[in-house]
Amino acid sequence: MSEKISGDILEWLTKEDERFSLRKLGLYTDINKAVEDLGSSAYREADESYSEWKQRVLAHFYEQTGFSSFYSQNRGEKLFKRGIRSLLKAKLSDMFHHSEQTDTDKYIAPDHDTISYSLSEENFERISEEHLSGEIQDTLEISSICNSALKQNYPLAEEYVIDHLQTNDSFYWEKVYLRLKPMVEGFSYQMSGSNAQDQTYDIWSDTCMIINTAVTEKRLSQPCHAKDIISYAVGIIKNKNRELLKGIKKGRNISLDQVSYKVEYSPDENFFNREEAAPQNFSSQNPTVTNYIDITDEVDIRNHMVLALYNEKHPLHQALISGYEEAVGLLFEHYIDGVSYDDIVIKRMGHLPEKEMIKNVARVRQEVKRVKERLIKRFIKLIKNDRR
Amino acid sequence: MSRHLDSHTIFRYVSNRMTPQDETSVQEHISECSKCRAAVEKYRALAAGLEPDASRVQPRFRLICKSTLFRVAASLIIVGGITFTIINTRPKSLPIQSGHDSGAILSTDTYQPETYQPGTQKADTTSTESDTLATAPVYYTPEK
Ligand SMILES: [Zn+2]
Repeated sequence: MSEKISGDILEWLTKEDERFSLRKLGLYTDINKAVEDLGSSAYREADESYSEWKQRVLAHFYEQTGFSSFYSQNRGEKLFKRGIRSLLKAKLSDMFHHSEQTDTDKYIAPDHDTISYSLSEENFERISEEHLSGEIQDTLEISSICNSALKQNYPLAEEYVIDHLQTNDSFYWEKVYLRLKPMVEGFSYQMSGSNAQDQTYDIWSDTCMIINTAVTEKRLSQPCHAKDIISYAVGIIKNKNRELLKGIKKGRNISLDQVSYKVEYSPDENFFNREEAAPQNFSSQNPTVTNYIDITDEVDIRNHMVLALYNEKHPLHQALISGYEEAVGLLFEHYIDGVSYDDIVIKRMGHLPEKEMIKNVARVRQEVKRVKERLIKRFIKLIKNDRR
Repeated sequence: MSRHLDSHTIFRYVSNRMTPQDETSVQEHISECSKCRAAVEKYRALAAGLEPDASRVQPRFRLICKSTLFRVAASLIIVGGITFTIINTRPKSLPIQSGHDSGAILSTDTYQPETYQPGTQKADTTSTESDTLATAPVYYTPEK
């Protein structure tokens, strides 16, 4: 097999392993041997597209390694489920970005985010149970089953989302709360000229509690729609801001008539997507990377830290490595360039007597270990400061 | 896919945030482009280096529990982090159901930082590279 072909196949299998943890779960032990074992079936046929070639080779690979029984044994494993979940989320994200915006998202999803195409744990388990519990030959089949399962179930109906809000499902409420945050900041900025975080935080917090109670206790007119929820929220936010104006801004001559929103119960359509209602200095409007990190997920934190470390243009890169530049250099040299600790010492200090050499290698090793720990601690701290 | 991969595309590729179709496009590109292939490999090497105790063979659960990252994250989340999580992601004193709380706070699956426009609802995935890093983190170019 030529180096080029084995290189391509190695990449496909590495990617499959990255998603489904195939090696860790025991589908194969040696990836290079797995490639070798493909033999002549690995060659690309003259009339095959790249994608067709990949699919054929992967199908052959999975048949050869007995994926079907591997799947039935491992489909409940946490690592394997993580792979399926990531696949579903990637497909949902793709659907979201290629679909018309739903009313649910228009009114109650956070900016750039979706409720209609979101995957709750409940939905993940249901899709897994209903669609992925039978016999499966390979990951191509998993992907195609996921496609049809998602087509059947998404976008989530507005009614479904409202039902879950009414039963106080925090998965959906978290998104609504995030939607309300920039709205509160927008109104406060326009109505009282205030963007003091304490004040807006209190208004946001109160609004969330009131709206949650109104929905879960079904105080809004039924059947309730996403638009009703946001309308109600707008009314609350406005009233809260009036209170703020009366109290904190007493004596300042601000006419509420000048405020462009006339809404009490029905929202001013113009509010949505108004640029002035989303000034860039509003913390919750800043497209910070960290707002999208799942702090409860160790892997997600690490993935984002690798990106911040790797990409010099990343908004957190400088803050992450500041003061550790030299140690980060060592880290890169060792892990990215593959230079051994011995060679790093030789490069910096030349050939040393054995004792000195051992001492310095240990020092470099310790420095790399320490900087890894420090970077992780600092990254978590940066997330904490960056998320508001 | 004709242009080189940027780091956010590599991040999405390596961290399983792409559809299989998009993964194939990346693979077809790196099959011909040694520069991007090297970039992907470097990214993976760094990620592997930062894995907690990557070289030691242990049951996965114990590995995670023993990792520094886990301990730091866990102590932050459990001890100080309860306050932090509440302060930062959730309004005060809200009724929270116990069963659906973890991981529900944030979505990692739909974020498109390069396409951010204040006041718009939905990201446009057809946007391309921009040099406006000063106002928004522009470092990701989806390439179809
Ligand atoms: Zn390239």
